[in-house]
Amino acid sequence: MPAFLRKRKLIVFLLSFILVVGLIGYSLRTEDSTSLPAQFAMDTVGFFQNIMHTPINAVVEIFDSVNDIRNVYDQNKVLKEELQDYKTLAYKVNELENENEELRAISEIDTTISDYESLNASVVARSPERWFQQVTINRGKQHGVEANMAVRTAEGMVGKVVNVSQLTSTVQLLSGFGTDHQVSAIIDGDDSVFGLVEGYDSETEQLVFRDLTGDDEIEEGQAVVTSGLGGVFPRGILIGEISSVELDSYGLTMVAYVEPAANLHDISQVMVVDRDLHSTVIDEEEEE
Amino acid sequence: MKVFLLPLFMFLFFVSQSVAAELIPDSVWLGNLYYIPHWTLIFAILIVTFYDKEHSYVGLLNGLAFAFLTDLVYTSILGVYLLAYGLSLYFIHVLKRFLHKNFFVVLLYSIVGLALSEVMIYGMYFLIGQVSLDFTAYTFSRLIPTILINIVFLLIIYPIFVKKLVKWKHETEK
Repeated sequence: MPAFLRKRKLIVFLLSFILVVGLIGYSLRTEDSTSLPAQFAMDTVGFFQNIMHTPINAVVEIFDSVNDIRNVYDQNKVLKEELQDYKTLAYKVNELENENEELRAISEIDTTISDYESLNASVVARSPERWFQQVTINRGKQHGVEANMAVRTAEGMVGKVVNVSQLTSTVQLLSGFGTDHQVSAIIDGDDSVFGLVEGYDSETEQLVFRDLTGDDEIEEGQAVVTSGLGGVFPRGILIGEISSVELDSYGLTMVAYVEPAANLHDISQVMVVDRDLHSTVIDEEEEE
Repeated sequence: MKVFLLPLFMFLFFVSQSVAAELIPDSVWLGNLYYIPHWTLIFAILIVTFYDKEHSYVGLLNGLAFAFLTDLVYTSILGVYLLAYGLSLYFIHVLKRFLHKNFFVVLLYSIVGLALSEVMIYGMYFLIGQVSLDFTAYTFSRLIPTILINIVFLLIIYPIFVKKLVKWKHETEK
């Protein structure tokens, strides 16, 4: 009898091993949509995360605000000075916006890839498995979130939506971007330099921006923004600032290291960005 | 009744570990040190040692169920946690026959279980190409901090749950 038992155990063991390896292989295929049971599981977990997150967050915020009060005086001084510049700047922006609208009306352009609407969301959880830099937000399909939308904070871009379920969605942060999630980007103010943000260097905590044009025009301190040419992200969302430039390992293109504008470790409020002008691919999908 | 109570606690730890990961502020990440909460694994180890009998697999099954949920909700690759948690919990289930049940043995189980599953998770992600960190760097920046932080969690829940688990075990025997 024990021999039979041992044999049965071995079979169960081997079968489950094969099953799990098959499962890994299956999920490695890139999928666009999340299956219904997976959506259900994510929503259920997200619901409880929301419940638990709210009271704990309130306590954490009290500590934060005590910290803030200490710095208020110094900040106030700096802000007053900056406010002077701000007024003139605001006036200028206003004037430019009006002019822009008039010019667009003349040339009959309704929407450009820079226009977008945003949807506010709060981060309720972060993937405890830190190989995957993912966070969960409390907005889903019901609120209008779709896969591949850009996600930003007030400071700049933080990532993109990878999984959407009905009430929550999962956001892949820039720090977890690899070759399968690339962002088409340009140097701000210079359309001729075009490239891809194609990875994250976890040692220096900087993004890797590969210049595809091959010009040597990149300089430290320049801002990198989304180009809008990837089809889903709008144009002009700040990604970060270039901190160093190198020749890549083949000596063919330039690689710049970009300091992310947003703090990727401590994110609480985000905006999901919905571009007004959809690319043809997405519109076709909606019609189906 | 107890059949539902254990998964309920597992679910509580499962949800709270992600909320904790979000709310622990930036400065606590201590530069390049990363620690991963494996609270469901720790609780499953407690169930295996104090609740399970010789031929029952409550801890193992609970561990497997929540490992699968972890795969589904927190990562984009299914099956990695399932395999890692499954193997290390089964290893502890076998080991349990040879050792007494006291605090130091549970400490040993937790360290072995954590190291085993963390290294397996790292190995599988390395094979798939999800991570490209070499093993020495991994050991110092992730493995050791992870084990330490989860041991702290064990120290907190051990006194709370051990007597209850033993009591529930005797209730099922009646």
